[in-house]
Amino acid sequence: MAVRGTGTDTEIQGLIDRANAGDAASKEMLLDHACDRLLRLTRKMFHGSGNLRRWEQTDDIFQSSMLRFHKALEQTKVESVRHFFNLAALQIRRELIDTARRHFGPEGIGTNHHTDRQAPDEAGGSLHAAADEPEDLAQWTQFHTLVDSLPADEREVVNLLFYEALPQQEAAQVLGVNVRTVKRRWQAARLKLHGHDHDQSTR
Amino acid sequence: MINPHDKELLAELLVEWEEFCERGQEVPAVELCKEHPHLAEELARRIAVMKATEWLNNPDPPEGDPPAVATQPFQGRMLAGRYRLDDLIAEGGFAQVWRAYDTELQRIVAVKVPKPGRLETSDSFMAEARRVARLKHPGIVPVHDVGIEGDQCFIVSEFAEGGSLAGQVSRGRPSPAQVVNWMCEVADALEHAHLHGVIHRDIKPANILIDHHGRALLADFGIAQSAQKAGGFAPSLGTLRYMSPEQLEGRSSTPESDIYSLGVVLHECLTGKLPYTATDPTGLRREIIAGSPPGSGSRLPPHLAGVCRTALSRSPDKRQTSAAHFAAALRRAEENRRRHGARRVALLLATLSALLGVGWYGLRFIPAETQPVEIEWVPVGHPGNPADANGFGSVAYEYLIGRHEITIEQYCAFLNQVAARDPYGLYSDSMLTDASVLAIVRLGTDGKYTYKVLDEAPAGHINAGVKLKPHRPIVCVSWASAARFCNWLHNGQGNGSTETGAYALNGVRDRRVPREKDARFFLPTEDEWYKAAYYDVAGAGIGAAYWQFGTRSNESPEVWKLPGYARWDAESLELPNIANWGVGGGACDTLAPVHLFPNAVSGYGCHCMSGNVAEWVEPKGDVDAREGIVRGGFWWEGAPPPNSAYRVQQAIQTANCDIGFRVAAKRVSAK
Repeated sequence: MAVRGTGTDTEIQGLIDRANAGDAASKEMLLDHACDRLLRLTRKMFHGSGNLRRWEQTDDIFQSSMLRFHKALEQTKVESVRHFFNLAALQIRRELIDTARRHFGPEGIGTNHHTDRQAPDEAGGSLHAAADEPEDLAQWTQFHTLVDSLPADEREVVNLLFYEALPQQEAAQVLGVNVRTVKRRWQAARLKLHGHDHDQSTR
Repeated sequence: MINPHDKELLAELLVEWEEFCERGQEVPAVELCKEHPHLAEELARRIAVMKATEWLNNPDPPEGDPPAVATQPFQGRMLAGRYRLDDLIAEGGFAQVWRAYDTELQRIVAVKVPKPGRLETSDSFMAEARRVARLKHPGIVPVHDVGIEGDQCFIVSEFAEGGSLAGQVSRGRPSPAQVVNWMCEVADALEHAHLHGVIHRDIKPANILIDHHGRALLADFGIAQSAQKAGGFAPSLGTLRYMSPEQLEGRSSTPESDIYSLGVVLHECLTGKLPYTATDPTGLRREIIAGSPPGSGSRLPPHLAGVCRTALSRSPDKRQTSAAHFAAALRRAEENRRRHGARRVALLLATLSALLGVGWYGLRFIPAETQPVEIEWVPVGHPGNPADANGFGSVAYEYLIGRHEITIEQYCAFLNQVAARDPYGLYSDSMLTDASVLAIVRLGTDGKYTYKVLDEAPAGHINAGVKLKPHRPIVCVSWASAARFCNWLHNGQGNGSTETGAYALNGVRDRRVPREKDARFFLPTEDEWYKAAYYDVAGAGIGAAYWQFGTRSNESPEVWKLPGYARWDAESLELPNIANWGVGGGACDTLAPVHLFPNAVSGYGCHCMSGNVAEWVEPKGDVDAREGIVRGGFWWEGAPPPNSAYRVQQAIQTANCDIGFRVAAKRVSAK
C-alpha cells in the first residue's frame, strides 16, 4: 500500500493509530512510506550528478535509513499525520546530510574533490547564484541544511511539498490551513533557500 | 528595506502571479504592479527566484538510470612497488577488487582497495585484514599482505581462479549436489568465524569465491563485526537482498543472521531466484520483514526445501542453531536423497528378481528416519615419526582417524537408531545424569526410548542458560559403549549390529575384547592415536613441532615452554583459551565444540588431541582386560596445560564427564 497519494489523511491516521496500538504491519507501512520518499529523493540527487554515483549508492542509503526510521518510530509516539510527515521529513533530511558528511567531512576524500561551484561560505549561506538545481553532494547538503534553518511554518511546508511530495491541496489539509497560505509559505521558503533576502533587497 | 505593508503586498502579488501561471498565463511583474509600481522591480526578482526554484515543485526523480561514470583510477597502478593492478574484477559499495600481479613472487593475487570517498579512515579497512588474518581456515580466503601507499591502503589476498559464486550461478544453475558442497564449505568456514566471535554480516554469492579445485571460499569480511561489538547504528549493513529481518529492523546481527543470508544464497543457487518476488527495495524489505517463506512456486528440490526454509525462518530462534548445523542438515539431506535413490533402485531390482524368480540377497533397507553419522577423516600416512622415548607413536601403516572427537549430536543419532536394541538405555551410560556437561535427554519409557539433544541446559540446572551445542564431544561414555558405536559404524549404521563387527562384544560390558581383524571402524590403538596427535610436520625434534601441546610423553612441562616448540608463548595466550584450557592456567567451565581451537590442531590436522576431553584408546602393552587407557588432556584440568602426553588407566565401565572418544578407520586403497 502506498501512503502517499491517498488524497486523504484519514487512512494514514488509521495506520498511525494501529501502529501506536502495536500493529507491526501498520508500522511497516509507515516505514515503507518514509523509505520510499527517501529513495526517490536520493535518486533525484544521483540523477543530477554523474560524480555522485561513485561516492554513494542509493541502496546503501536505503539500508541505513531504514534503520534510522525504525529507531525513530520506536522512540517517538507519532500522534498525527502532520507529526508523522514532519518526523519522516526530518529523518530523511538527516540521513541525506549524514551521507554527505561521511564523504565531505574532514576525513572524506570528497573534501578535495574539484568543484566549479562556490563553496558554501562563499555563497553567503545561499544555494548559488545560478539558481539551478543542486548538482553535487556538497550543494545538496547545503540545501538540506538550509531547510533545517527555515522558520518552522515554512520548513513544515517544505517538508510536505518537497520531502513528502504532497499536492498543495493535501498539504493544506494536513496543516489545517487554506491553500493560499501554503502557497505563501512555500514561496517564502523558496526565496530564503535561494538566498533572496527580501527584507533587504529593495532599495 | 521593505516595510511590512509592502512585504505583505509582495507576498500577495507573488501568489497571484503563481495562480496566473497555474492557469497557463504568465503575467509580467509590471502588469501585476500597476497599482504599486514601486514594487515591480522587487516582484520581478522574486518571480525570477520562483522560476529558478521551479525544480522544487518536482521532487520526484526523472525516469531512467543516472548517467554511468567510468571510474578506473587504479588501472595499471603499482602499489608498494610490487603489486600491479591489472583488471577490475569486482566492485562493492565500499571497495574494488583488482586482479593484480605480484612482481616479486611472480604470481597473480587479488588486491582490494577502498573506493574513493567510501572510507573514513584506513584503520577501518585494516581492521578487515586483521580480522581475516586471525581466521585461519581453509575455507576463508587468506590475506597475504596489507599496505598503505600515500593515502591508498590495500589488502592483498589469494586470487580465486574460479571467480565468485555469483559468476558461477549467472553462467548456469549448478546441480543441487554441487550447491550442497559449496554451501557446506561456506558454512564450515562461517562456523569457524562464528566460533571466533566474528559475524560476517554480508554473506552473498559475490562474497563466495571458487578456487581452482572448485572449492568455495568465504571472502570479504569488510563489514564483519565481532560478536561482542555487534549492535548499534552502522552506516551500512550488508546487501539488502541477503539481509535478515533482524538486520533490517536495526537489531544486532548474530550468527543466525549469517545463517539467514546463507539460506537466501542457497535458495538462489538452487532455483536461480531469490526467495522474494519484489524487485524494488521497499517491496523487498517488506517481504523480508514479513518473513514470508518461499512458496510452493519456488521450485526448491524437495529434499533441500526444509533446510532452506528453516534457514529463512523469520525468527532467529527457529533457524539452524549454528552454521555447523546448517551444513550438517544439508549433508544429511543430500545423503538421504542418495540413499533413497539407491533404495528405489534396490526395490526395482528386488521386484525384478521376484518376477524372474531369482533370489535376492544383501538388500538392507535403511529406515527413512535414519540420520547418518558423518565423520570427517584425516589420513595418517606412512611412516610418520619414530616412537618417542617411551615407545609410543610408531606405526608403519596408513589409516584414517577422525578429525574430531565424536560429538553429542552424533552419539545421540546412534542412541536413537539402536534404542530398540537397548531397551534399558544402557548405551547412554551415565550421560543422562550428568547434565552439567551433557545435553542429551531421554524421552519415553523402557523399550520405547527416544533421545534428544538439548541446545541449552534445563532451567534450575547448574549451567542453565549455557548453550550446550550438540557439536561438543560426547562424554560419560564407557569403553564398551564406544566400542558398540564402532560396531554400529562397521555394520553400516541404521539397523547395523552393535554387538559384532569391529569388536565381538555379545553382551559383554565388563571386559575389553580385542579388535577384530577385519574391523573397518574402531577405537584407535594408543600408537595410532599418539601418532596422529604428535606427528611433526617439520621433522622430529625440539623446535620443529608446530602443534599445540602435542607433546611427547617423556618430556617435562618445562620443555613444552621452549619457544617455537609447543607455542607456549604470549601469542598463544591471547586466544580465549587453548584447547579448552583457561587463559592464565585456569580450568574451563565446560566442554567446547570439537573444532573450536584452530591452534590446537595436530600435524595431521586432528583437533583437540591435547585437550577438551580425554579419549578412549586401545592399550599398548600388558593391560588388564577390565582396564582401558585414556589419552589427552581434558576441560577441567588445571596446570600444567592439557596435552596429548596425558595417559591414564581406567576401568572400562568408567563413564566420566571428561572421557570421550574418536574413531579410527581402516584405509581402503584405491583399486
